[in-house]
Amino acid sequence: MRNVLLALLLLPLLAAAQSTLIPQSGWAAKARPDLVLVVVLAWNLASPHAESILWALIGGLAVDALSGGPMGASVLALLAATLLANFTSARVWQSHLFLRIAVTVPGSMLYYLIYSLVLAFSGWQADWASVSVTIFLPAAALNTALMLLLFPSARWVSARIAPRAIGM
Amino acid sequence: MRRHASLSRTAIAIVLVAAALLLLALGQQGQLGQLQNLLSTVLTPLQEGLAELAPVIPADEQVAPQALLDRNATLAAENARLRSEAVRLREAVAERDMLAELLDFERENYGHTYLTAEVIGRDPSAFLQFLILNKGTTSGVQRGMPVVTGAGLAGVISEATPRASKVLMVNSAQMAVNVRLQESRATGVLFGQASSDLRLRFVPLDADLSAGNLAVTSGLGGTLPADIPVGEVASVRRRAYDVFQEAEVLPMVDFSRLELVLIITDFTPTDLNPLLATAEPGTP
Repeated sequence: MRNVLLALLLLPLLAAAQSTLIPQSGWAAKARPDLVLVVVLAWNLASPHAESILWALIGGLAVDALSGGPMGASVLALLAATLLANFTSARVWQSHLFLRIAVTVPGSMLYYLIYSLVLAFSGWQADWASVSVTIFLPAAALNTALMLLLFPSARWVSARIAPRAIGM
Repeated sequence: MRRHASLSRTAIAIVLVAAALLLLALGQQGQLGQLQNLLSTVLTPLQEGLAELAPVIPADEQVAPQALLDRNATLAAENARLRSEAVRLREAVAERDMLAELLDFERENYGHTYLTAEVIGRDPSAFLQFLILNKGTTSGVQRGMPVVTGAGLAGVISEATPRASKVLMVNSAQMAVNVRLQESRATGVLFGQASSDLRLRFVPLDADLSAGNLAVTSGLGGTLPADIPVGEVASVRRRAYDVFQEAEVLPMVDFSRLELVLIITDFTPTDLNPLLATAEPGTP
């Protein structure tokens, strides 16, 4: 429950920051990290509980409400990336810190891929090849760098408010 | 126990995927107005608060930790100076407000009614070009209203909630604007691109098109008022075997520095669909 409460408090604020503060920076014209995506991934890598998946819904709704894109697009894309992080962290790479952080790369790419597909199916037009090179790849690199900073914090917080049960 | 957790995780995942697909489907049918209004009510104050904060955060500034104490002393001295300057600036602001009011009056009497709005956010997705304004339906903002700055056309209102609205910017890949070249009077269509520049297409091959030409809205299609500057031709691509010539166009508006915009509130886009429907073959 505290897990979800934290998401309700944190993610709308991060979505608003992503919409207001991040575009103010000089480098935003070249590449922007996705704060909500990185924090949701970090939380699911640090705390792969079932209810952590709800972070994708809360974060996705906050992003979609501020975006001109179709409502539900970020939810679906974030959900795919979150499931990747949650399932892998819960099953395979529990002890490998850097492998867990490395999930940010496929997680980001999956997020952008799903988001693009939803936009394309909704009738949005763009030069997707150009968008992939100029926006997705730099953003995925920035997201990974940001994850290196945020993951230890996410692990610290999750250890205090949502400690993992020991599986039998 | 682990099997139970895995089942629970899978169940939540399935429910959430279904919920996301439902949201997409309902959104396509335009049935999420209430949800969007609710979310906007929660998020707009957050955005306004952070937008106020944004200008005081220096962009790309890196400060070495050891320099912070020196900098603190410098800032304290500067603070004293700024306090006295603030008094003078308040007077200047009052004067500016009066001038702005006069300017608004002049513009209103020139032909349109404008509503000033503050940019409080941008699309969180890096490749969608939307602005978020602090004025919504309670201020009279409606979908389809053009948004301009002193330099020219910025975009069109794509969605409005009671307290905020979204603007689809001219440089968005979803945007197409019918324009006229002021020098040659030739018409064409400006399309946004991922690079944020504009591409002018469908200009007849025999039209005189060269770098420096100004593109203004033509009013064709009834979606925008005529004669709003949109961009300046930067380079022309003309091939003898093409039917039309193309040009790269630099937008008049600097989209990265938009803070205040004007919404043209007295312009209602014309819906041409009924006319097009009557033009179908077989219709008397």
